[in-house]
Formats: sequence, structure tokens, C-alpha cells
Amino acid sequence: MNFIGIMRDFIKKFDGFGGKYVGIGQLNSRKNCVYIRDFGKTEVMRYYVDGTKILKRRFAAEFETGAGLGSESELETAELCEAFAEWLEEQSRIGNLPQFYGKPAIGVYLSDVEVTMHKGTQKHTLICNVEYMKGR
Amino acid sequence: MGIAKRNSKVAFYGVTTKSGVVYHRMSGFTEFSTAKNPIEYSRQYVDEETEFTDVVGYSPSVSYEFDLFTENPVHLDIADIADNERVGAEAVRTIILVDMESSTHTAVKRDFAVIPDSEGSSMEAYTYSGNFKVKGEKVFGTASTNDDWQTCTFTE
Repeated sequence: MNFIGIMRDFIKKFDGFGGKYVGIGQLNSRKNCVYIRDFGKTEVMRYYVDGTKILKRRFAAEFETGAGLGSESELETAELCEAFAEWLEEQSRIGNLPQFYGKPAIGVYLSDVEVTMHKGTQKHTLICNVEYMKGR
Repeated sequence: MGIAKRNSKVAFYGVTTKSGVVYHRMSGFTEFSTAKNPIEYSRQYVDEETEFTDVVGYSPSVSYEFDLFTENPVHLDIADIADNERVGAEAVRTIILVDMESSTHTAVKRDFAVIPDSEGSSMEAYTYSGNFKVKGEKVFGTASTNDDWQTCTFTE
């Protein structure tokens, strides 16, 4: 399975998204969906002498909420983002992470949250990084 | 003629298990640098104007540093030597250096004393560093693998 498929399967395990469908690709005004998007950029974090390296790859989980629904809805979304960040941290701590090249990832963490308005909806983009080892 | 890549020579470290010694790839090392440390004999004879120097021996050592990965058997073994301050034969391990570019995977096997130095000096990962100091003669041979070079077998 490719990178984005692996991350989609991993994110599916997060209970906080409730019954939302977790898919792949760009979000296109579909409610009750979370879409996983790959930024397609891989950065080498560390080189080791035997040729292995730690790679960092960025992806995003995107979902929409109605705009102008008031502070309760805003609070719910903020809590969801916090819960998601904590869930990622917990999975990294207990080592329950997706596998790349036959080895579990080193860590997955939330690095940024972007909110954009589009046609009466708010699009929330949870930007995450995953670090994993690539062997020889 | 091409430049030799650093990862063309890969080291394998002998970890003792119930079924014998298994040579695991030394992955996760940010440093594995050999110093030959030649022993010199210098003297000036009374009838000469200059000093004469000969190399009369070597005391090779390898400085190492690695990011601790909690399931890596090599890291755990070196950490055990450091953490428990093991001495003498309890701190001697065999390392095989394999030339991955040679068609026959020529290899050199040698015993080293593991001399831990420091740990925890990095904020990015928990690191251990120290030196492997020579404890025996070089044994020349070839290496082979059954698991894509995660472990290897040495043949003299």
C-alpha cells in the first residue's frame, strides 16, 4: 500500500471523527467526511552511516463544518483538534504506529491547523508530520 | 572511477543469544569512524642530523554514536554494557565490516572492547557514544545474508 493509503488506515482508528467517512484526496464540500491529503514532500531528517535514514513526510486530515454556527461549534472543533493531537501523541508513545518498509513509524504528530472559509463552510486542515525509517 | 559511498561498508555487531552469536546490522549509528592510532618509534642516532621514525604497531579504535532505538538488539546490548558498567570479557564484542560493493561481499571480523563514553547529550534523540577498541586480530573472509542484510553470516 502507498503512503497515503497507510495514513488513511491509521487515521481511521481515531474515534474522535465519529462516524465520518475517512477518504483520500482533496476535500470537495462533502459533509461528514474526513479526507487525507498527501503534500508529496519528503524531507530527510537524519542520515545514518549504514545508509538508513529518517524521513519526514507531511500529510493533512481535512474536514468541513458549517460556518457562522457560533461559539459552541467553534469550541467543539477546537476540542476535536486537541483530541486528535493528543491521540497522535499517545499512539507515538505506545508505538501503535503505521509501518513503512517493514518497520513501525517513529512518530506522528500534529504540526499546524489551518481554517479557511469556503462557500458558507469552514474547512479545517490538520497538518501532520510522520517520521519513519527507510532502510538500505 | 566513482566515489565510494559511506554506506558501501556496513558493520555488523555480534549479539549473543541462546542459539549463538547473531551479527546484526549496525543501523541507527550517526558515527562509526575508524582511527588507526599507529604506534611510532622515533629516535635520533648520534651520527645523524635528523630524527628517524618507524611504525611499530597499531592500536585501532572506532568512535561510535547512535540514536537509541528501543527494539534494536545492537543498541540494547551496547546500552547494557554502558548502563551496567560491564568490564573485561563481558564488554568484548565481535564486529564484522562488510564491503557491500564487492561482488563476494568481502568482510573483516575482529573483536573489540566496548568502551562507553557518554549518553543523553542530544535533544533530538537519546544518544550513546563511545569507542570500540581493538581486542584481537583481523580475520578475513566473506559475508552472506538471508534477510536482506539485516543480519549476516561470516565465512572465513
